[in-house]
Amino acid sequence: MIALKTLNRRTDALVVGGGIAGLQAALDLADQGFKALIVERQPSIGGHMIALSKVFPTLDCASCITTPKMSAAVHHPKIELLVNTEVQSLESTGAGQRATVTRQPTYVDNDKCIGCRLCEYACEVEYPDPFEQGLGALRAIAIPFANAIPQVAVLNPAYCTTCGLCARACPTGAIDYTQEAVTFTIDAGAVILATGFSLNSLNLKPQFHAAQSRNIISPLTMERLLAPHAPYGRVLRPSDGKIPQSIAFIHCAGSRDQTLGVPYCSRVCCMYFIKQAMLLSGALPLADLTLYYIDIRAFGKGYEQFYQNARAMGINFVRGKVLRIEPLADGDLLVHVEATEAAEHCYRKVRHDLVVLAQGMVPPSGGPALVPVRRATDGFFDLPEATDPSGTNLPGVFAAGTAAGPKDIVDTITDAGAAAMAAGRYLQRRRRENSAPVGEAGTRRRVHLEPTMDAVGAN
Amino acid sequence: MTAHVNHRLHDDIRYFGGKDVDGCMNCGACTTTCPLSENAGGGFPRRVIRLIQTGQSDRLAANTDPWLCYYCGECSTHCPRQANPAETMMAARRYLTARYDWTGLARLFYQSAWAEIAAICAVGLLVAGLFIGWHGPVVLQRVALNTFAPVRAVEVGDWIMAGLLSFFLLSNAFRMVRWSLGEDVRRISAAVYWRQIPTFFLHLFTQKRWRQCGSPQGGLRWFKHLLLVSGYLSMLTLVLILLRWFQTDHIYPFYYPQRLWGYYAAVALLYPTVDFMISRWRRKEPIHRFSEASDWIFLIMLFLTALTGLLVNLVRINGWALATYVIYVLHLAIAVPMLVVEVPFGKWSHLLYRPLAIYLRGVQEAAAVERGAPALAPGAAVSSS
Amino acid sequence: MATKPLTTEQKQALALFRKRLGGVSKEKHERLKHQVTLRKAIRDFLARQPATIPEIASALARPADEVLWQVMGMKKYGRVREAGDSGWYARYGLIERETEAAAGEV
Ligand SMILES: Cc1cc2nc3c(=O)[nH]c(=O)nc-3n(C[C@H](O)[C@H](O)[C@H](O)COP(=O)(O)OP(=O)(O)OC[C@H]3O[C@@H](n4cnc5c(N)ncnc54)[C@H](O)[C@@H]3O)c2cc1C
Ligand code: HEM
Ligand code: SF4
Ligand code: SF4
Ligand code: SF4
Repeated sequence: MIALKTLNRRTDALVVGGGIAGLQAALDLADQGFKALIVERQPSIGGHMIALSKVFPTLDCASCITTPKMSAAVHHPKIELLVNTEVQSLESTGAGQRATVTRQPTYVDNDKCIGCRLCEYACEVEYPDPFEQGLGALRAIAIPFANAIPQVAVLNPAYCTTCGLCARACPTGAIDYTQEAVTFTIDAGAVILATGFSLNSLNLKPQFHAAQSRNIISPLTMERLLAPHAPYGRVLRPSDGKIPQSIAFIHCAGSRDQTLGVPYCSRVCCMYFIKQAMLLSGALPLADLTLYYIDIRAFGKGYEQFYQNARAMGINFVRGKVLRIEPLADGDLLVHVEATEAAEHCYRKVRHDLVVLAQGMVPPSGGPALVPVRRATDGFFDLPEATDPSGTNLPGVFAAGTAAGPKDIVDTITDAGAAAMAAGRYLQRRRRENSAPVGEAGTRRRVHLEPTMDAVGAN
Repeated sequence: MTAHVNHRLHDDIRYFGGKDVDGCMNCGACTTTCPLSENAGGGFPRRVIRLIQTGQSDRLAANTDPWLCYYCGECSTHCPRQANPAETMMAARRYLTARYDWTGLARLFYQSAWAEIAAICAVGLLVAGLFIGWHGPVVLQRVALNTFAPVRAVEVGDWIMAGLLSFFLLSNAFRMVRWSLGEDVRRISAAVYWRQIPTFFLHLFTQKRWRQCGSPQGGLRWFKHLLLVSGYLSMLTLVLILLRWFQTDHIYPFYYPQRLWGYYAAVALLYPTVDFMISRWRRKEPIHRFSEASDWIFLIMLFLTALTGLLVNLVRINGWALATYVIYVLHLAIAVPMLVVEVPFGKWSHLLYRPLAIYLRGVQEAAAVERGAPALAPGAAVSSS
Repeated sequence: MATKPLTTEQKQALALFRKRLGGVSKEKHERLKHQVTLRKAIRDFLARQPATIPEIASALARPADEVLWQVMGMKKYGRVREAGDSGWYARYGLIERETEAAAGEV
């Protein structure tokens, strides 16, 4: 990682968000010789993908295929990484784009921390681990998760009791209680917005009673239950640790629903539910697994086959949208559904141990007041030109991955490559224009684009 | 069973007010939110919508589910496509009313408000004409309504009308029974038919299922409607059975039952109809968000009938003779066409079809139990497979 | 664990940190106290014999989801391990430790 010397800085391409889209875009730009700066608001890069168990349709282990990309990015000589840093706003200057960013304190000097975790072992305070969707425990100072990059400790002031045990345990004196949030600017020739997505609330539909039951879970929680470093070490339900024997998957629970303001399809939930059911049938061979769907959208290469395999494995598919879930006293859940393809007993109430809701993919909350960039009606970044599938309404600002709308990993990576290509072309064109004799307008300022032209030439 | 596909059904339902049928993606969410569906076999509202989408008009005609929907609107509130399933059910009721009616008048009235208004005017003019031509002596010194319109003659008219309307309504209901029971009509034992009769009257008089319609408004709506029904049944009793006691020239004291009952009936008709009209105007409650011309006409006619009835009483008590006779004629020229149009050919027919549908469901279930079959899921008869 | 006393500089930094946080709330301390006492109770209970989450929960009269979370924290940081299944539930047993130094080595 490039050392932080001064805080204000410039770069060729600013990549906002260090999920798989941001990483891919940064790598593609850097490999072409441009300098890329990734700004990620979490303590680690990797985005949602690093938290997944396995990925459809190949069933590759997600962390095994994400980690190499993460370390390739972090070790690339042309990529700079800022974590715990959030883009607050973006404005166009004559010379390009200027982002204002805030870096939150981690109370650990990243240059000194060697990732030994002695501080974590010394700390006594534990809180629900955000990476594990609250299932497991994390200490107030800790390495965020096993394969986090960078591997440095982060102190969470919301739980720290300021006992000083971590400072006493750290062998390199990396703990720095004096850190404060800092704001600075980044000037960039081009910007790639790879801010990804978030999931809408489990509590949107009161009839699901999700707030009343710990056994109505997010699909990300299910990913963690199934992950190699699972918080419980195996699949258990959160209310009482029971090994679930009957699991329901409710499709479209937060999408394709005008009453929620999410009329569109989130595109990945059908497939990840099928994947999760497949993985569960391995983990819990006796369990009854039922997917309640409106229609299965298996659109990608090899996806239909994946779906057919799941059917052949004996996973139940019931056509009908669930809109009512009744929590029972013993922690079980009664799912109400009209089995629309059944000839008889169409109105069913089925008892399950655990219910997963396919929450809708929506633009990430909080943070980015990326004011000048227009949003489409779905809230994701608008891509006005059909022939320019990465370009936003601002010249030099591109969107990649799920920041522009729901996508799976394959499409996200393709999209990020396309955005990197568009940004690269844009940077080169600006360069050419700026090195042309000053004439016509006369007011144009030079874009400061450090050494990259040579590098491009060298490639 | 062969299914006849009527490719015009979908358009047809549009004319009955079902404008959003094609928005439905058949997810079934409406069925699971409906507070009444589960206990009625879980068949609605989605399956009714499906029948419309697939053009199965005969199966739709044989389906009584729309009568088991009390229009709480829960399904429309939660439909992910905002396809207004509750209004589709309402349109299906209008469609069924028209299908049951063999004269074709119901269809005409539902699809053309002008036809309905013309029919009302025609009958109204006929009634007025009868009075203008054949009324009794006009006494102006005192109010002598029974001289102007002898109670015996009016009574005869009442009974003729009641007989005619019953004939039309019952013959329509007969078609409903035939279609919905299908082949089973003869197979079901007389005892089963007999034993379910209390169910019919229970629901005719109480409409009690309405109270299961979740929201707090559900209970209130039920109560207002019950008030209306009580007012209507009071009127019916006073006019058909007790007319000689009710239509007198003698002025009883205020507390005398004849007057009290009459006032009660007037209020019980006026308050709910005004309330329903205001609510339809505001379009806030799901049940009143969409109004077809037929909905307005029904309420307005009910309201005017009650209002003119009350006026007759007031002017009579005040001794305004001529006004009494004029308003009396006006009253009948409104009440009679309302009954003629609405009872067998319009929205009012639900007073028979709704309890009858519950009765038929009871008969089917009891027959299934008698046969030893597991309780029939009524939706099964129209399943999509 | 090799710990060393805080330097004066570190003490000053901590004091500044505490001030910037606006002091350490009572709530935070209560949370920690609750965690420590509940985990001690769990350890004492498991010292007798391994048990399932509902068993621990009913013995300690605490909600099962909370007990599960605490036990999982203890498991992650090397105080507890799985000890076979009992019906549809896993049983958890104590890991005996000789020295504090081993704590945390998961
Ligand atoms: C439960 C679940 C299972 C899935 N399973 C699969 C699967 O098996 N196969 C598959 O192909 N796809 C799967 N997907 C989809 C997959 O997760 C996404 O396609 C992919 O993660 C999108 O990557 P991204 O980089 O666009 O977004 P993200 O992963 O969301 O990354 C965005 C990053 O930007 C950061 N960020 C946001 N705002 C700012 C800001 N203002 N400043 C700085 N940083 C910011 C975020 O912290 C985040 O790290 C699954 C999705 C879910 C929800
Ligand atoms: C006996 C005389 C009856 C009268 C005068 C009567 C009158 C009315 C009126 C005026 C409306 C329209 C209300 C509005 O516009 O909001 C209505 C609706 C309704 N009635 Fe009745 N009704 C009668 C009998 C019944 C019976 C027996 C039932 C049920 C068993 C019933 C159930 C309903 C329901 C559910 C609605 C609302 C849905 C719809 O409009 O179809 N009614 N009734
Ligand atoms: S991907 Fe499937 S579950 Fe997700 S919104 Fe689309 S149809 Fe529904
Ligand atoms: S009416 Fe709405 S809720 Fe009912 S099946 Fe159709 S789309 Fe689904
Ligand atoms: S309006 Fe109410 S009773 Fe009628 S189908 Fe919809 S939810 Fe059921």
